[in-house]
Amino acid sequence: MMDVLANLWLGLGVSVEPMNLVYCFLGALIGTLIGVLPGLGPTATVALLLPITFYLPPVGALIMLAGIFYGAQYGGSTTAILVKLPGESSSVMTCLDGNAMARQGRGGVALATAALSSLFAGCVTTLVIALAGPPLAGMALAFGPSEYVALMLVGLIGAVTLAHGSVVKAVAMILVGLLLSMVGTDVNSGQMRFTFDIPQLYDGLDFVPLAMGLFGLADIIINLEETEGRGIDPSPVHRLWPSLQDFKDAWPAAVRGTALGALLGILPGGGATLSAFSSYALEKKVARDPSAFGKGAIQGVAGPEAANNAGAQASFIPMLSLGIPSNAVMALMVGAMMIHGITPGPQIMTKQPDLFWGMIASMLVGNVMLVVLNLPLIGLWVRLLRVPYAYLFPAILVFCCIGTYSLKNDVFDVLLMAGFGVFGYVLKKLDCEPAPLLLGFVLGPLLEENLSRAMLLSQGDLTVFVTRPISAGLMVVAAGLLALILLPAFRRQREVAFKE
Amino acid sequence: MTHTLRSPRSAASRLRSPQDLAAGLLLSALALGGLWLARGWEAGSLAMMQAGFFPRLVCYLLLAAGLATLVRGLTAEGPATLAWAWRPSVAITIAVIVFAALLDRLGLVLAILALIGIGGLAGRPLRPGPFTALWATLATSCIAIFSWGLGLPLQIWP
Repeated sequence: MMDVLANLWLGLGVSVEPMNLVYCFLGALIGTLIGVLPGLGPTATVALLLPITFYLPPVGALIMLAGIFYGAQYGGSTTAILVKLPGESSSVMTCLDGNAMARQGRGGVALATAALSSLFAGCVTTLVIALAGPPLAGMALAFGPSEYVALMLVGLIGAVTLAHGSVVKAVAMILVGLLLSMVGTDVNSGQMRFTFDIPQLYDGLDFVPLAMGLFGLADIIINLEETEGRGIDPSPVHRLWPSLQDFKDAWPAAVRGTALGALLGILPGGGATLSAFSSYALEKKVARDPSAFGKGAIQGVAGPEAANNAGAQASFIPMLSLGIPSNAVMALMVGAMMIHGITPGPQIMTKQPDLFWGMIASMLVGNVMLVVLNLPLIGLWVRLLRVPYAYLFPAILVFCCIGTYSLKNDVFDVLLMAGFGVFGYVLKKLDCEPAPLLLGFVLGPLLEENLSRAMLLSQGDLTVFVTRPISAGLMVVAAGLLALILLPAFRRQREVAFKE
Repeated sequence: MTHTLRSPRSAASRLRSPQDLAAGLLLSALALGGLWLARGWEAGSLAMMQAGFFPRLVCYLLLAAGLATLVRGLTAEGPATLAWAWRPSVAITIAVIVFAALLDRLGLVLAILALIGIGGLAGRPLRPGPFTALWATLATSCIAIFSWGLGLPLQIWP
């Protein structure tokens, strides 16, 4: 316990350095600014803003990216509440009651409830990360290649369980991601794979054009198709501060949501969406009057908002301590760390404690900043929501193009992004989710390397995965998750949950 | 729900789910393409994996997933039509390609003009006044952020 406090103290020292405070502030501000824009969820926002962090020092870049992430998450809830347009599945639940409140003229109260629940969840979860991270990383240091393979299988299968729609298609998307990750020169043999004799591909596909194309460009096309470039009309905001009765109704929901989120967020494949869905279901179950849900119940905002924030932050735990991203945003974070020459994994905590603890402490700082920043600025966000898409999408387009170009000053990346934009749109049309693809892409090299090493060590004996205890345990979890998907009862529930 | 009322034969002869069918075809094609490209790479053995092992493994699994989707597309009901938004998808893609072609030759300011000019056709094009204002704002802020702020060696004018 003392260790944790000492470490957090070290981290706080790093995160309140003036420059880092500036990065944290800027990240939260820009993240909210972009996240508020309708149709841009946290994943798209982080992908879009990756380039502006390339030129910062690693600690600053990660602090800023984390700030962008919770800013985007918060901005997304604002959009969900005021115009019922969830940028991402994690704020779908907030839409239901949040928007109902807004239409009753209680939009301000809903926004404040969301902000305060998120703040509470964020602070608690930061402590959970500080407590759970080190032991997990300690365990991970004992991991051999077979354990890593098993762990990645759990993560990938978890991602499939939580994807929308068809399980087979989600698996296929992971496989396409793995395939894309192989482009380039094979590190062991020097064999060129899928490079088509294009020199720019010898070092492999870059993460930025892929993510920008799949999430930035494809989203623009989809939004234009769905709205035909129309503007939207946000609900007006009157009173901001919740009444005493609101507080009384909301806080138990926020506490329950936080607990659920922190727990579910740690699971591979878990994160914000699952937490928000479960929290909404739980609140509906424990409520004295379940029929009020969907008609503006404040618990229906406080619970899921606390849960999605807690879940989003808890998903940093497996990413930072094991190096395994559990969802698309964490895959982006891993990509960003790699660009800065940092390999996420258990060794970060011991080798770069200032980076690890600085980032964690900055979450605390960032969450407070977000509330301080957002409650007074709600009027501005509402005005931003009124900007017609005809102005907005060219701006996003320009930013995607220059951002991608700035990675290597090479227009090849911009062309690549155009290609992935079309590919992303095709996938969407075929009802395939791009998020598992991104996970597969990030985990691909790690999976191939560890698989081949595990097989080399065991001389081709596949039983190594079930004879080593940790790996066997993980395999049981993976098998359990698989069995769960195949169970008809679970399938039905999953479909219901995603439909709601 | 209309075609469930028809005779079973005509229902069977119709495409049940073009969406799944197309997805299955695309995935299978990707897998077969990957296998074909990987045909010359040595696979090695389980104990000594070579460059061709992992690509083949992934492609075979992808092929299986693709075929499963294909079969489902032929047997299970799904959304009837595949709508494709030609205007936004083509306009956005061409705009980005033109931007890439112009950036090194004519500089940032004109490349942005082409990008938002062609890209704007994807939605409702802006009137000349607002369009010029948007162009000026975007060009200025891009130069400010990327050229002055981040020190990127960008060519700004032709």
